Amino acid sequence: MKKFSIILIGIFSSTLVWASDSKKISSSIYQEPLFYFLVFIAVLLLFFIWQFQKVFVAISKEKVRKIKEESNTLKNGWPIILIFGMSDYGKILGELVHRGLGSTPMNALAFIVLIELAVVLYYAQQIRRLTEKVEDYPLYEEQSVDEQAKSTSPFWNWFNRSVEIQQEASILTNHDYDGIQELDNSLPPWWVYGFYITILFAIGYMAYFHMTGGPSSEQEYKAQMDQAAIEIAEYQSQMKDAVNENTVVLLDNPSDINAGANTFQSLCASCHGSKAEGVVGPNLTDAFWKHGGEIKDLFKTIKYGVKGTGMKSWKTDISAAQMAQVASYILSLQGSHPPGAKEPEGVLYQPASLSDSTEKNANISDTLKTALK
Amino acid sequence: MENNKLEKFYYDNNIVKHFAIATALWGAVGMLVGLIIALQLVFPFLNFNIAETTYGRLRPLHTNAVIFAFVGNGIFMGVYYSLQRLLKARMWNDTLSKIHFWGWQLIIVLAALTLVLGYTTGKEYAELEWPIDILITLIWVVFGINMFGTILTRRERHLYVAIWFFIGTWVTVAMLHIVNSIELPVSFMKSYSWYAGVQDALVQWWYGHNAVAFFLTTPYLGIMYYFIPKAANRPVYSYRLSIIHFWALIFIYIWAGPHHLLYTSLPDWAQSLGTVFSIMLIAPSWGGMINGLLTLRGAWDRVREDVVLKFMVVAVTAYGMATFEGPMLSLKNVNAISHFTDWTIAHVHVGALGWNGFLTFGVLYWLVPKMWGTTLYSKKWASWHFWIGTLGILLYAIPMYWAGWMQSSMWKEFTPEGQLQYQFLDTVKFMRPFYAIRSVGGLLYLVGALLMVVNLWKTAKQGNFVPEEAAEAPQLIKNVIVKGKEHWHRVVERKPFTMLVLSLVLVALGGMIEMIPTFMVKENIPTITAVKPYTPLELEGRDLYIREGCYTCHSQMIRPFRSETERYGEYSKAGEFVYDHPFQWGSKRTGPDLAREGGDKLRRMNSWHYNHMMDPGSISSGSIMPAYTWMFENLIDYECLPAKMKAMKTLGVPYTDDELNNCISLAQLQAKGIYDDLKKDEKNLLLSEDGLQQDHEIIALIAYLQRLGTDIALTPKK
Repeated sequence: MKKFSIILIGIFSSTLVWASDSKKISSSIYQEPLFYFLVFIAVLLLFFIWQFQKVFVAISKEKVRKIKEESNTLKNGWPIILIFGMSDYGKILGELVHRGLGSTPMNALAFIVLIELAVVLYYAQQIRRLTEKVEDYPLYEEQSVDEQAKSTSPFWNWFNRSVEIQQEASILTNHDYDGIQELDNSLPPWWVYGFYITILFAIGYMAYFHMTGGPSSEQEYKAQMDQAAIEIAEYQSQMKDAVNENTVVLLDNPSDINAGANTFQSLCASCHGSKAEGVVGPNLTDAFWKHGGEIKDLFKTIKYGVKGTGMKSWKTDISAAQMAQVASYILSLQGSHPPGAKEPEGVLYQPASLSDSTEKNANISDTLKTALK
Repeated sequence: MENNKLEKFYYDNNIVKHFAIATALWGAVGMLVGLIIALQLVFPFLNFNIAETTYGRLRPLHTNAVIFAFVGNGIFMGVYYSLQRLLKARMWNDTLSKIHFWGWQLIIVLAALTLVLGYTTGKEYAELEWPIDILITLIWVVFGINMFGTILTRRERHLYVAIWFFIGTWVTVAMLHIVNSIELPVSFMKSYSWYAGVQDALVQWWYGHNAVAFFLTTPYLGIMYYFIPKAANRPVYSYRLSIIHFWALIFIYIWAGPHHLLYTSLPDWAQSLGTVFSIMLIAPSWGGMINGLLTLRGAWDRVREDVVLKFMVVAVTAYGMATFEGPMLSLKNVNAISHFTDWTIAHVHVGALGWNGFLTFGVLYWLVPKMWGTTLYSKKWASWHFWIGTLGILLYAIPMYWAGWMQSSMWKEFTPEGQLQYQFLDTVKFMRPFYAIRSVGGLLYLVGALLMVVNLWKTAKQGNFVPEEAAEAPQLIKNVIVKGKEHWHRVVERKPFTMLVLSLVLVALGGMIEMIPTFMVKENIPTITAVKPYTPLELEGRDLYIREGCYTCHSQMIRPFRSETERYGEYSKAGEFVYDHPFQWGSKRTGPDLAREGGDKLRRMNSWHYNHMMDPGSISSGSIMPAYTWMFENLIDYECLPAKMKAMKTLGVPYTDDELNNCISLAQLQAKGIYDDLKKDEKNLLLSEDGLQQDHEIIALIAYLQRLGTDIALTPKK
């Protein structure tokens, strides 16, 4: 028992040590430290309760010996264990509310923790009980009818319309297969009516979707998209200045640049390198650009992607504000000469203010035109 | 009947012993492989960079080993033991019994070898290639002949409910296996499914769902009907419930396959049939649970003490839970959440670990002491096994339920601006701790099973095995006249062939009504003219995709949900899959959907794919995808292309003669194009020791990936 607990805890804690590493991955709610804290507490709690319950059983061992009706002692045990469990659990919930993280996922986790707690508790209890009992009680092959009847519940007999065990002879068929006999109890009414209900449901379902014009998968999809479009439009009308490729300006605020850097690391670095030095995608730190080097060009490239290249459109992944941040971050890296920088691709771009050669400007706009085709 | 003299005969326990040993052995192997692949999802390095030990190849090995080796041998163990006793007859032919046993073990060994070597048809739970499919058919027929031979030489007039289930199982599995395995051989270990796309999907899930129904459920219900009354020493609760739930179950079960394809390109009417029949399945399934649990009425005191009954009670309860959950998952709106997530994985494991596993353990704990004429070596160990196993199931299922739900919510979450909240990779990272806890659950379950193996081995050692168990029964008189009134069903119970035919008719109905219109009515699969057959190189790449079992983690089916079209592109259309022999829609998204991997929205550079396949973590930090380094060393097998193209043409893919004759040079030309493109970026490529080569398998795979989902982009928008 003890060894088993130790092994189990060992396995758990190794899992958790590992899990706590992934805290650092991102800032999403699912990777909140609190989430892991909750998982950790959940597991720890299980252990505590288990141990506590062990102690409890040890203390009440004398009682178990004295009172043959083991159910009494077990009933006594429950409230204490539950109170112990709930008080700790309450603390977590309090913590949750305090931190203002009453979000659905966290609540769901809390709920799971509670369920898990109750279930594992029950099983822990049972394990204990069984290790105590197994060797003590002889298995009995035969029991008298009255003894058997004791273990049936009148409620269930009524609920299933079962014939009482004492009257079973009246519904015993003459079948005997290798000693197996068959009763002929009537079908439980709840089962029969349940079956009817599912059949009615089936008829109704088919009629709704295929006879009376219930929505097809395609119609459901269209409705979903329309609804989303309305919601987005509403949101955007509330947001005053949603940027687009025509209105975007270079951001130089450090918080924007940092946010851009984060987005860049999670989405762009796989192709462009963590320092934008270029890997399978081009180097973004030099002055050469394939699709324009101005903030508006970058924004456009990010937003719409470039067909026929590896550059996908990011508009379903990140918001306009994030695109502006990333584009600004990228431009902030101009001339950073990271190690292992990829050779220049595209044409040299110089900001209009610095450019004194009209010829070069014409050249750039030409390439831009071709690129954007 | 009374004046008929008693005949003495012997039950063949030897064959039962063989199957029991095989059950325990393959059970341990199957669970171990399961544990390994569970850990691979947490620690990708456990793929060891070896083709044969990669997740995509081991996962089919796990499912096949658990279903066909562990449960399969468990079925035969239960059938061979109970059938003889229920019929008061020895197995009809000992030689057939032996052929059945050794043939089945041979199939398992061949399956294990071929699956890790990458020979697969790419259809879930039916991955074995055509020569093994034929072998399975033969051995199954041997089993059938032996079973019916025994039934015909019985000394018991009526067939007990367990045997109805065995007959129903036999005939249905035969039908499912044959229909789903119709494939055109290309070479000794390669074939293409006869069906394509939507039709292949329908046939496959008709098979796949009913593998659960008629391999994991009905034979085990038969086993339950023998071993629970025996172990509890109580009469079966209700004979009439047996009759109604048996016939209702086999009739309704067969229709439910399409619930694996909700919101896919399968026509809506077929999806709805899958849903409603799944709902109607609740009561017939629960009929079995009720009859099992209520048989224990009056024996609950013993359930607490007797480990055999404890295992059986949990098994039947797990069966009840899984068969209620299944229909709930078949509801459109629930399925929209659960499908492609680990919720499904949790669901099947409640069934597999709880119902099949625990019932098998219960039977073994009952059977081994009985056949060896002794008592169980250690009741304490058995009790430990029970609790470790139960805890294992909980630790497996609860994290997976929770994580599956979260996974789905993350896939579907949008920002107020209308962007997807999470990249797919974020969801993968989120899952890892849950995969870790699940592995602990799996480990506990395996430890419990191993404890049982030792316990049973010690039990056998302390007892004396009785290979030939003597029994006596009067001979059966033909044409007995029945006196008085009898239940109409008693007549059927005297006629095994009537029962066989009736079962076949009932199970054939559902499949036919769903399949024939899907095959015959053209409107069900609207043609898209832009959809063209795969080029020779793409076809080869597709075969590599199948060989590596990519479908075990990646779907190719974008459902009509905003969260999917925004992430992957336009939702999948039935007409896009008409040349897909076999279909590769998948059933699980451990990784993202690939249906439009080459499409406008997701298209990546060749060099991206090259590096990603070489070392997924280098491009997608935190990815749990294994590396496929051998594809950067193995060469494309151009020589097999003409045979493959020809087979495809036979199956109706409109390749021109020109394409057929020049397929090798066409493939090489396309490979050169990709090679040239990669060459430009060579400095940035992660190269194997062999360097960048035009004929490496990876080039064909890239060709296929870049092709995926591009057809529909060519169609002008309405």
